[in-house]
Order: sequence, then C-alpha cells, then structure tokens
Amino acid sequence: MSGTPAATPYFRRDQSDGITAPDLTKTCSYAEHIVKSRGKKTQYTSVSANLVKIRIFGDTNYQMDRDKAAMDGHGLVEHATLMQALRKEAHEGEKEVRLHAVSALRYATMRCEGLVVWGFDISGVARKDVITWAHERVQAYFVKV
Amino acid sequence: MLELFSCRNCVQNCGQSLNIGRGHGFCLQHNSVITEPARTTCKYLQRKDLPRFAVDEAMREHAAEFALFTALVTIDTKEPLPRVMYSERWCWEHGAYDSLTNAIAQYFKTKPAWAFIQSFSGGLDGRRSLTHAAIVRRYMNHCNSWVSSYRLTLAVIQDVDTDPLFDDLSLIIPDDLSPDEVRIQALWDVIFCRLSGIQEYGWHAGLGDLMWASDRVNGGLTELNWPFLKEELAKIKKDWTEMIIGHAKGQDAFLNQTGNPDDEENP
Repeated sequence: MSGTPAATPYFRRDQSDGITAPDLTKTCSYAEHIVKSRGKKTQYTSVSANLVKIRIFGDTNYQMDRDKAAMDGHGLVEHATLMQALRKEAHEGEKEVRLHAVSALRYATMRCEGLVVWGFDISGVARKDVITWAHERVQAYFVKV
Repeated sequence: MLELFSCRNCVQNCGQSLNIGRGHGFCLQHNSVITEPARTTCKYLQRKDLPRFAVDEAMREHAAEFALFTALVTIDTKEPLPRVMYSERWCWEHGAYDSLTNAIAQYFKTKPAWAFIQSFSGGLDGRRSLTHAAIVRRYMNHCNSWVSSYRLTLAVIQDVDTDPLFDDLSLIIPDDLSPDEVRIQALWDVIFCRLSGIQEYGWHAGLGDLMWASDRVNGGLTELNWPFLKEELAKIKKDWTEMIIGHAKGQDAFLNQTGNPDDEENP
C-alpha cells in the first residue's frame, strides 16, 4: 500500500439554513476566538475533527470542502497545530493572552477544534455589509452530511 | 458555539454549568426557573468560565444583542420566555425536586444574603462547590465593590484546592462520553469558576496579584493537570488569604473595623 494519507475531514454543526457567517472585520487571536472573549463572531470559523464532539451546536451537520477552500486561498489550522499554538501562548504570552489561551486549550481539546482562516479580500466591501457578504460566500465551502 | 453565552455558563444560574446539573436551572437575576438552560440567555449574562474583565467586549456585545428583551430569551431563535416562579409543590408533584435548586430558589427569602451564601462553603460536593463559587461572584458583581465581598472571597480561597467530587447524577453525560470523561470537565468548570471569582475580586480591590491569580498557578493550569495545580493552589492560598486580609485591614474594612456588626451589604 502506498500513497498520501487522506486529509482529516473537518466538520461543523450549525443551523439548517447555513453556516454562521464570520465577521471578517474582527481580527483576533485563536484563543480569543475560541473562548469568545471578543464576541460570538470573529474572522475565523470553528470546525471540528470529530462531529460527535460538537453535536450540541446546532441541528445540521456540515463537512468542510477542504480542497475547494485550499484552492480558493483559505487556510485551515488543523487541531494539532492549533493546540501547539495555544500551548505556546499559554506559556509565553502576556497575562491576558495566557488566561485566554489556557481556557482555549480546554475548549479546543473538548471539541477537537480546528479553525478556518478565510482569505477573502474585503477591501471593496462596506463595513456594514461584510457579514452578509461573507455569509453568502462561506456556504460554498461546506456540504451537508 | 453559543453555550458559553447560555444560562449554563452564567453565575446567576449558580447550580449548573456546561457539564454540571441536569434539568431545570434557577436564575437569581430574574427570580425564575430556567426550563432549558443551555438554550436560554439574557442581557445580564455574567460568564462563569472567565473573569468579567477578560471577556468584557463579548459581554457588552451580548448585552446589546439582547437589549430589547426584558428577561429570559431563547439564545438561538430570540423568543422571549415567560418568568416561571419556583414552586416546591410543583417539583414534588412532577418528580422534579432537586435539593440544591430548591435551596437556591430560597435566596431572596433569606436574610442576610451573605450568611445564606456562606452556608454553601466547605465540603467536597462538586455541585455545591460550583454553586458557592458562582453565587459569591454574583453577589460581588451585584454589589460592585470589594468591601462587601472580601469575607466571601476568603471562603472561596479556603476551598480553592479541595477536590470537587461528582456523582453521575450531578453530571450531564452525553451518549458518547463516559461519566469519568465528563467528571474531568466538570472539575474544570468548578476550578475556572473559583479562579475567575478570585480574579474578579482582585479587579474590584485593585490587587494586581489576585487579578492575575491564574498566572501564579500557570504550570498546573496550562497543562490542565489538576493534581499539580492542586499542590500549587495549596501553597499559594495562604499568600492570597494574607493579601486580602492585609488589604482590608489597611482600608479599615476588616470585619468589626467598619463598626457594622454584620459588615453587610444585602442586595
């Protein structure tokens, strides 16, 4: 047997009418996004490597189309990479960064969490329209399963 | 991922958390039973999992999102929920009696409030430990002052290294998880609620070392290693206790220094 191992599938549980839009104007750290210290929506979209771990977060299961996302210039911070980044922040960050990172480590572990880092160019989009604009576009990267 | 903004993660619903306390909750803000705590919220939410000053932006945004609702509301569909008065009789008649919820529901009938709160301190029961840590934080937030909360915070600190224990019935156990897996998460629900309370006290009192208490125990906390963290907390709680008493004495506010025998504010 040979070949490249299949990429880990990532899932999201969300409402039946689609994936919740990110707020691409709200830039923050991974930890701030995970603990929701900056609000419910940020530049990232949370996904999980284990659908079972996120079953309470909505009524519909989605799988991320990793290939399409990668082709269109969107990034995925895989679970292991995310945990590594959070551990680094928890050890080396400033006080508040460390506090957020410690909580984020807990939640990210519980949810087998990864993050989609959207690469959209929003320079021509009015700030008040960004969430609606993003809502229409992110749907293309998830399929119901 | 709205659970962090639900009543399960709010100090006003003292006896429940993300992993602890089945069935109905009880909200001290609205004096109401919460029938679906994981799906309910309101604009007064105060998170259990992190100190208020560390999630301030999220709290302001959440309050604005639900500003036009008077009381409890469903978090996902934004439907206003009626206030449901607690009835011990109803609970007995419907097999829904829970002794801890019953106790919390008596809060406004019991004076002085601080004595009621102190009665939850001590002991190893995890749900009572959560209730104690949360109700102290609720009181402190309500008073918005360190003066009325130093003795309550001292009590939390004396318990900070105790093991919160959980029987299976205290836990919310999904089909795919074992009770032991949930028990670990429930333990962290209590630990983070306690530490966040100590940090909030530090914020109110202007004590930087307490405000960043999480930093002093960063080893065990960073690794989410309870046995290690427990040892660290056991060592440090004496320092924290002395710091609070020393500060209160310095402000002429320690117990009978105020001249008030009850030393009480009772919101």
